Amino acid sequence: MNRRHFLRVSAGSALAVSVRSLLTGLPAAFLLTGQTRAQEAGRKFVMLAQSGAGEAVNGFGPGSFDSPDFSHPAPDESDATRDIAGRTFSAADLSATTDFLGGNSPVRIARCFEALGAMQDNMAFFHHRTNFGIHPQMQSAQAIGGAMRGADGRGQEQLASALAQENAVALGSVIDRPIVLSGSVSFENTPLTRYEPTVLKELVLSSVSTAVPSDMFGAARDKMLDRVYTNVRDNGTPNQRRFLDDYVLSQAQAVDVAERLVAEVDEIVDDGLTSQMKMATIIGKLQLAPVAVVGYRVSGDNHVPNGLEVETSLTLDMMASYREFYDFALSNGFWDQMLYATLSVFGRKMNVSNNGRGHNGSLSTGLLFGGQLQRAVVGGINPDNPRGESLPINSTTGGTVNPDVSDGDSFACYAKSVMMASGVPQDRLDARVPDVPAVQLA
Amino acid sequence: MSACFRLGEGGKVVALIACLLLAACGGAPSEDGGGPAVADVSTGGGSGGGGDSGDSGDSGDSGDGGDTGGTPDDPPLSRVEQHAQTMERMASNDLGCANCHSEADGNAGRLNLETGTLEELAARLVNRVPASDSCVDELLIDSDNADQSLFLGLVTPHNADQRCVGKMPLGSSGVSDADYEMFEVWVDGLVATYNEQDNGDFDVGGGRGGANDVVSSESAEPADALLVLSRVKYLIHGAAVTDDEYAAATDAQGDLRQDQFEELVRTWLATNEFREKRQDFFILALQQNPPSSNYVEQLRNSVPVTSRDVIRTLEASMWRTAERIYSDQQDFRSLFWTTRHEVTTATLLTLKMLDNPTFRNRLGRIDGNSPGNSLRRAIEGTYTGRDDPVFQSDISDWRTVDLRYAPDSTEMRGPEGFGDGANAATLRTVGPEGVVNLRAPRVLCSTPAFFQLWQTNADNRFRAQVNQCLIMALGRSFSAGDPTLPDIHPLPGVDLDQIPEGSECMGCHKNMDPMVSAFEAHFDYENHRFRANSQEVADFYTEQNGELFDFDPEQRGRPVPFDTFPAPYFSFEGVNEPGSNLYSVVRSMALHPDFARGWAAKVCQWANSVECSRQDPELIRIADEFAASGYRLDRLFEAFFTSKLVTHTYSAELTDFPGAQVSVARRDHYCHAVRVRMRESRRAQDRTSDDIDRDTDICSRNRSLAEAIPSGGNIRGATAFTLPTSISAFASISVGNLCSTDLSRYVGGGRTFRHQENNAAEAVDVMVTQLLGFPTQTTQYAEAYSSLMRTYAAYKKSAPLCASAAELSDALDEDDPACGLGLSELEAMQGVFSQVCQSPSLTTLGL
Repeated sequence: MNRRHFLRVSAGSALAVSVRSLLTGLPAAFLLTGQTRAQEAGRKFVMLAQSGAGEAVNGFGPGSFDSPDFSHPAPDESDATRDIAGRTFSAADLSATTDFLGGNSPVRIARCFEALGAMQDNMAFFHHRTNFGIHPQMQSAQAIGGAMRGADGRGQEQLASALAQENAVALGSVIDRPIVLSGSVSFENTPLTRYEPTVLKELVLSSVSTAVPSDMFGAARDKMLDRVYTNVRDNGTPNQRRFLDDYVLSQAQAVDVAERLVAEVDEIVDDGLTSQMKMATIIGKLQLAPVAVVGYRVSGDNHVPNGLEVETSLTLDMMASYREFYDFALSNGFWDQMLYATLSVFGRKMNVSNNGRGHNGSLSTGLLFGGQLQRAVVGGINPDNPRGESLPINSTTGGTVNPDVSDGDSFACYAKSVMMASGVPQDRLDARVPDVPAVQLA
Repeated sequence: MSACFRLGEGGKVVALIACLLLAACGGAPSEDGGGPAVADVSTGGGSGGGGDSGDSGDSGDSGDGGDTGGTPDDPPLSRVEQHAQTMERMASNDLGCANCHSEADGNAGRLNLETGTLEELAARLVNRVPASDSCVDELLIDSDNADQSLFLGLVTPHNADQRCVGKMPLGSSGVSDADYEMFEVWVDGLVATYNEQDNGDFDVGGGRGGANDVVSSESAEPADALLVLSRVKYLIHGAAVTDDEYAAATDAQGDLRQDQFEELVRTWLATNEFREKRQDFFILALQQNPPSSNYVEQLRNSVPVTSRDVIRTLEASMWRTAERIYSDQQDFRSLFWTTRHEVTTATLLTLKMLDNPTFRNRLGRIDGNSPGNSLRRAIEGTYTGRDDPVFQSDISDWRTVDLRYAPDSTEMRGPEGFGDGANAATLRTVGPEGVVNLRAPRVLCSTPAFFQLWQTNADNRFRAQVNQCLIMALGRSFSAGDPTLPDIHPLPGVDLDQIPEGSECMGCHKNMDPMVSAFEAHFDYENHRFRANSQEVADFYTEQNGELFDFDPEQRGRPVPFDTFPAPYFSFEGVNEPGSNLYSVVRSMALHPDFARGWAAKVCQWANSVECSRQDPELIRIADEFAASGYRLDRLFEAFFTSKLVTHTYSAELTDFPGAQVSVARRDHYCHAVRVRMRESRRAQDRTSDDIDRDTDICSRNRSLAEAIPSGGNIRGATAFTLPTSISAFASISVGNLCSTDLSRYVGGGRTFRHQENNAAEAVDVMVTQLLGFPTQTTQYAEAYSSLMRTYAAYKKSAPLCASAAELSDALDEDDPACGLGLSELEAMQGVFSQVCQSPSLTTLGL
């Protein structure tokens, strides 16, 4: 699971063996034979949707219709309509409800979710609180407020990074770190570069004019590296050796990534949310990376007087994107291999002021999709608090009766549950997030 | 919401990190005193009642320190037991120390008060310096004067003395008497334990990636001379180190000659190439680079190409102003409050548009077609198109203009003149050193570009801008631990309903909120445009809207609002300054004593790609030199690039020490270096009469490919830049394709590398010396030259053909390769160029 392990299983055959052997400390013979790309059963590619704006999924999910103090757009609040899967949705579909679980006691969610069709069968909501109240805390939220520890159980790690570290080898990924299509993410506490979908598309479709075949070019390049950077290899600082190691690895990955992507990017037309999710699906399907980070938006940073009008428009757009993404993932046969999960710096208040929905560190609702998931609602919303707050969780049932996860720990519980749903084994879960149980979602 | 801050530690450097509005750091002391039963005894000889320690005896005197909750018959606690009890107490919800000083915090390089043995805590705390810029003169626990330790000073309930950070737990006035006595005994035990040890370094919580303690420049070692020279010249100039430079700056042993090196650095800093590099630095540091050029809130539709041309002038205005201040060797702090900005006519026209509120119809909706609102409409009404020579002139006629704050000015009020060219014509007549009056003050932190990058709203009330401006000036943000109380009551701008007196939220808001009126008095929350500054002005614009949209504002329309705001007040880390307007607040920010260290840290991070410790003695020295020079930025660059933070490294382990960093050359660095090195390659071949820039800028020719090379930026609230350092597969694809596209433009007859038969050796020599950057005296030169010549030979060898990459690899072990690829000489040389162009020497800093 560690870096060396990743290097071992992802060794590229075209690389200069002497360079790799010396840099990784592995026997050259292993590097010549050590290529494996097996995928471990139960592991899922994760599409992590992040928002530093703070999204109001809590505003129209389960529990949001359980108090008269909780606000929804009035049917005539907005002129916005969207045609999704042959049906027209409007503001009325954010104030009317549909029963999500179909039990004796209806669990009402906004009717706009019906736009997702059968996707709802693999959808779960997870109420929690991030305890953050301002946008600059997004980086802390990405590290689950410090609750997500590093691979060795020390320090802290962003959720996207931890997921990648845990699943890269098991998924047989070409790259060991998240691919960031939106927002910003750190891997091992170092910022990663963001690559918008169209940038990736352009990159792999660009033509080159060299007459040297790529494998031959790689051989010549590695030969030069062996000779010119001998001193770094033999006497360099640990930082230098590590970077040269990364450089060599990235060269091999580049060939692999480009060859896999080039035939798949036709449907990428822009950098919008739908394209991000489609590109993430392609990345997962091609086993390029264990995690792709995308954006999501159902309210945005909603501080405007016509807040619910904006929310209506954005939410309907998001539903349309989700539906298109679902159809795309199904058609690519990848729906069962992936997990979609949201991560927001905070949720938004259930009641609306003159300036839209304010920040709510006491309630955020995670939205999850994936072929292995069942319809589920974890946690709950206290209907007696007009702005909304999450309730403690029973990690066994996912309900709020006899809870063993305090509301303060619910964010850590959510993150750990996401990791569990992606197939991370229990011992690793406990190393990452000790002392807080996970809720089984899959 | 609540707030906390952390005392952190990283080896010799201790970090004090404020965490803004984070989870509770601890509540107030318990009403009953709350402390556990503690005997004031330590077996390590610490005296009872907080007396002097240092006795390392192993059989402590029970002392007579009074009643601390234990009974007279209780056996004395051993030092270890005392430690365990104190740790348990600190972890309790009552004190809540561990909420902000957890083990996880410790592993992240901050102070861990949650876990650790007595010995580990002694190593963590005793004689350790906090890293807070305001705490550099303090020791967490002073072994020679324990009762004066910062730790005890922060928790004592016995005085209200202001230390470098606020009382602990936050929001309290110290712990209970009983808890304080417990801490006194514990501290004595730690000191005694410390004195028993050999005071060797302990691992007190690593930095990133499993690295151990932060390495100070004092323990770093000289780096390889060629590495230092290559990296510094790459960063400053972009070109390769020449043979003469290498010879001059190294001694017989190959070590760096500091005096000669400093001379070279001064030479490189004086070049036009460094002027180009400075621009990149300014664009990053001045936060004028929003990701989108569609300024929809301020200017409605600014998507068309002509609008983008104008937007570019808005975004270039401040780095050009910074460049003028730099070139004139002025006090760089003045950039924050200067009214003399570099502008074009188009810049002025846009600023004048924004010097009006948005024009709205009866329903309060913004009219997107009004030339007073829409940049697109204003441009369409003023110019015939992008090819209009007047337009081209108006976006390029840069000059220095005094943007004078004139709140009562009535110039260009209303939309008239923006859509017919009249206002542009007037502004065109404003020459160099001319004056333009503005009703809303425009400084570095209130430019349209800054407002596009950081947006506010009615709830945020420009707090985002205040924070980002502070970060720009000082590289620091508001801290709940800042003990600086504004010397004004009531606190202006603080909503006591939301943020009650004594709440933990007040820790930051007491300093931040009094500054927001500097912005909100002049700009509206929604569109960041001029806000009516009197009832008369509001009435004027209300009338305007009625006339424009044909309604009676008194009967049906929404009046333009007018609000009053208190005068702003600057209060931050030991400085209190009453303010009068935006100028005075940003001036106070820039005049804060932390300015020098903040900018030294910015330069250090930009160059080394890692957040540099503001506590490092070398960084402090550099900052002091900067301040002593009268804040001349040229002196800062010189002091930094000749410092240990550049010339030294650390070879024991993975480390965050600046000089030891290895990073991918980010887009600005790489593209600049390739461009310059291609130029130098032409010069090396006596091609001085050619158009030197023709076909040398591979990034500009392939912008979409270059986009995928990592680049830096700013994240809201982050006090340091966000700089990717690792090389990814996508970056490799990008550089690989950049270096393999349009090869005939770079290699061939008349091109930068004039390949002709029989001059391959010359072409390869130039590639090695000018592109790879190896002086001919070095072994790297010999190896690279030999390797590339073999590659060239193999590529063009026509028989036998190599059947596989492995065969080619074997063939490259010989000067006369056993097989080849059968390429033409030109194709072979192009292949060699492609390899050089994407080699680590060009794509990496620090190898």
